[in-house]
Amino acid sequence: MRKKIPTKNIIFVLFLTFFISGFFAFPAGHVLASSTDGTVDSSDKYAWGENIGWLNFGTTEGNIHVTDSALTGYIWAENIGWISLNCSNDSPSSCGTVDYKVANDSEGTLSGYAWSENTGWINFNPTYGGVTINSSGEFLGYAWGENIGWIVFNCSTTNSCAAVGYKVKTDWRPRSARPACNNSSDDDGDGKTDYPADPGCSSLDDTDETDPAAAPSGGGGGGGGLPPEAYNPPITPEGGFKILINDDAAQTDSRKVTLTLKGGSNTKAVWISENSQFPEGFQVSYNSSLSQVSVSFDLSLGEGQKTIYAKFCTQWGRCSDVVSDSIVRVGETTVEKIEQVPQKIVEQIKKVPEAIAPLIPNFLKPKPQETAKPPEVPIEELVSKEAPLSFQGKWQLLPSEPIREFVLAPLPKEIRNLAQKFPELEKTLEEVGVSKITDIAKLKSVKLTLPGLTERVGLPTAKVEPGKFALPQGVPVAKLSPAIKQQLPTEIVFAKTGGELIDFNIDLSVTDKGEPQQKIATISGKPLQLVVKPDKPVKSVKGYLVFKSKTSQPTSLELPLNSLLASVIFANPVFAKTQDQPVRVEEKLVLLEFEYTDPDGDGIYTAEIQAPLIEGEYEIITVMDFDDPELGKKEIRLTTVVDPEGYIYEKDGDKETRIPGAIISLFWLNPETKQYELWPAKEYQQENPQTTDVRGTYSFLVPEGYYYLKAETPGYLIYDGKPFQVKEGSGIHINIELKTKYWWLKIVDWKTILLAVVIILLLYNFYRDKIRERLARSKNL
Amino acid sequence: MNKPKTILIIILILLAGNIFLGVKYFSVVKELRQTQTALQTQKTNEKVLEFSKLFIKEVLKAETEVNFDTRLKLETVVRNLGDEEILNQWQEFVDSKTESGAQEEVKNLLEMLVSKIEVK
Repeated sequence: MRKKIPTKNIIFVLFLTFFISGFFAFPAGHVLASSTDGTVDSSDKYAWGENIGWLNFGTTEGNIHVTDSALTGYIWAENIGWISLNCSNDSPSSCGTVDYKVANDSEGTLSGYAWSENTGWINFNPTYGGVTINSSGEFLGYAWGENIGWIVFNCSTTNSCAAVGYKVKTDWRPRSARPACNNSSDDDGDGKTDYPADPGCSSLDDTDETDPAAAPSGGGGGGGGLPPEAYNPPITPEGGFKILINDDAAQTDSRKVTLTLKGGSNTKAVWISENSQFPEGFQVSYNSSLSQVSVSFDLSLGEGQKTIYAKFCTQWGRCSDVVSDSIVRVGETTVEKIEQVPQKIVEQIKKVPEAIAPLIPNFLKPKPQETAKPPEVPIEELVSKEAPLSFQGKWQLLPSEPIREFVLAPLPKEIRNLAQKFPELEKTLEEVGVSKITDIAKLKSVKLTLPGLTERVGLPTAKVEPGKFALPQGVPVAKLSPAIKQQLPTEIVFAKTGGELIDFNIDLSVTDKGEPQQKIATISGKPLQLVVKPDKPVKSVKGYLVFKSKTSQPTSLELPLNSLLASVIFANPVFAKTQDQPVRVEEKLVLLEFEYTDPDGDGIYTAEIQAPLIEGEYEIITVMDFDDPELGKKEIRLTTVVDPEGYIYEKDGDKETRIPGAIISLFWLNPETKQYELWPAKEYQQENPQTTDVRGTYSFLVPEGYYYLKAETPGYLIYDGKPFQVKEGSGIHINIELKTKYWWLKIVDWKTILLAVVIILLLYNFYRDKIRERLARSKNL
Repeated sequence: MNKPKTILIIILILLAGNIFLGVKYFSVVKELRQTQTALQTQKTNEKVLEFSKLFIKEVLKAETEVNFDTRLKLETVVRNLGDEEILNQWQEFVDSKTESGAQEEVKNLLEMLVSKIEVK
């Protein structure tokens, strides 16, 4: 049996269906309330970037919205410009190219990336960071910018609210924190979601979506169960439904306006839109207990007249007629003009405070505000849990190769060559642990002496013959045996003196560059025999004596009497170097050019020269011209410092007076008798004792041994010096001061005597006066 | 001595005293500034040396992986230096991706640390 449905019921159901479906006719993405489509609070809108300063989430142009699925709009960062939160912001949308957004999981946990036009990606869910929105709508946590570091959203995150309070806050709420009728979910499973779609919801704040108890159905009717008042239209308030923009103001210069809504006693919601068809409108809840309600509204962009439409609805969806109000938006043009102010002018204006700042006295200036301390990100957040590659202990952080090269580099070639030619030197270097380039520094504080020719070829350095002074002496080259001549090191210039009987020992030192330097010392005017043995046959061996500098040699004058150390002499390396160019005589003062000769054809070339008379630094350059044209020429450089002769003097205040005619004797310690004896100078082509000339000078070139000097001359005390050691090849040229026998005459001069006489006469005069007074007094008495 | 003269003398004495103390004050302030500058330099030197020692001991001489606590300590010390150049160089070293890169950054860091020590 079929029951006929009344026509009026069908009409009612159709009407109701049409009416209710109106709510669903809005776009799917449309949001119904601010807690589901939040904006950012007008005061709590700042986040802090550790490197970029403040970020404003609440600019009008940025238009940030927070929904259950994502964030849209732009952040304005004071130092890096706009940051887009969603690719859909871009015009045209860039999602086709790069699909990015800051996503929301509807419970306030944000993820994904924002894009900064100037600094790149910002991760909202980085390792050790992440951003959430709590049930109060406050952002918490950190985001990480690949190029700008951490961004903090809430001062409470870093416990820095005492210093500066800031946070980003929205009126969006996580789904779980919203009332059941405003949480975008079908809580009662009736296929309808939230207010007003779900009949179980009386308002957006209703916490229960469950439908009211269904009324007994009339059978088949969809509209059964609604109370009778559900069909009533909204009650019109006194004066009618009204919407006022900014209290009915005629114009505004801001996008943000305040709407005053006046509804009836059963008005529960108000639809608002700038379009009378409400295609993009939104609904606000209406508290009917109040006579009117004020809400904030953002006008559409652009200037001109703006009209806002509203319709007032009951909780059952019955709505009033559309009412509207208009306002003229002005000032946008002005704003545009300001925005277009040339940058130069803006910069000039910015400079004005700086320009006038010096003119303002300090006490008139406001106290400088304490700059807001950027919130510090906890250090634990900055250090990754996983050790970076450089900390994993897998790498050698200090490059070993350069260190090894430096530490273990062999000695310079010059020193190695020298050590090869002088086995004694090689042995010494080994013993003192000089084997690497880093050991060179040890040599700087060590005084090394290369052996003289006699010692090098293994001849005894002292010989004792009965009835004769046994002096250690060298052997002339001509007298050496062929076998010994064979042992002579090649390409080394040896220096001898005293008829080739005294060898000059060569002192070895090392320069700052690690190059070895050799030195010999002689005394002005003394003969000098040079010996060199070329490595290969030569056409000729030439020598040049050139002047280098008139270096003062203070040590030759100030040697202590008990020690005779060699003067400081600088010499160039004696190693033979291939001569690229002839001796550059134009750069040096060539004093003497001489030829080495080899009369006996034994391959050893000798030459005898006279040491220059003027003390200073000289260089003996020996050039070997080889037979083999491929070898060309080689030169050996040896710098010789010529010391002045010693002299005898008498001190007169600060001046020195040379003493001519003084007899100076040199005594030598005979190792055989252990007695000091007069040194036999004749054997060495010299005189002993010597008589000083008008310049008071004398000098001896002696073999090594222990000596002392004695000087005497009439009118002076005899000088008997202390013994001192002489190394072979060193000259004796000590300056000796003699004291006069009548030294006291120098203290008492005629002026002193005259003064003393005057004083004595004066005292005597006083004495006589006293006597006279006494006598006169006694007579009077 | 009459009263006005006494007052005048007292005023003069006080004035002289003020001038003396004023001069003294400024000289002491100047000295204080110099001392503070010297102290600051010394503190910086100490901090740089402390970090250098820690870096050499814990990183350069490390035989195994540098643990989290040590890295935390190093990060704290390097940030306490308050020197952006050193911090950046440190970051360069930490972010090294290759062995040769790390060696280069270590050399740069050590050079920078030594150059930061002021000797007066």
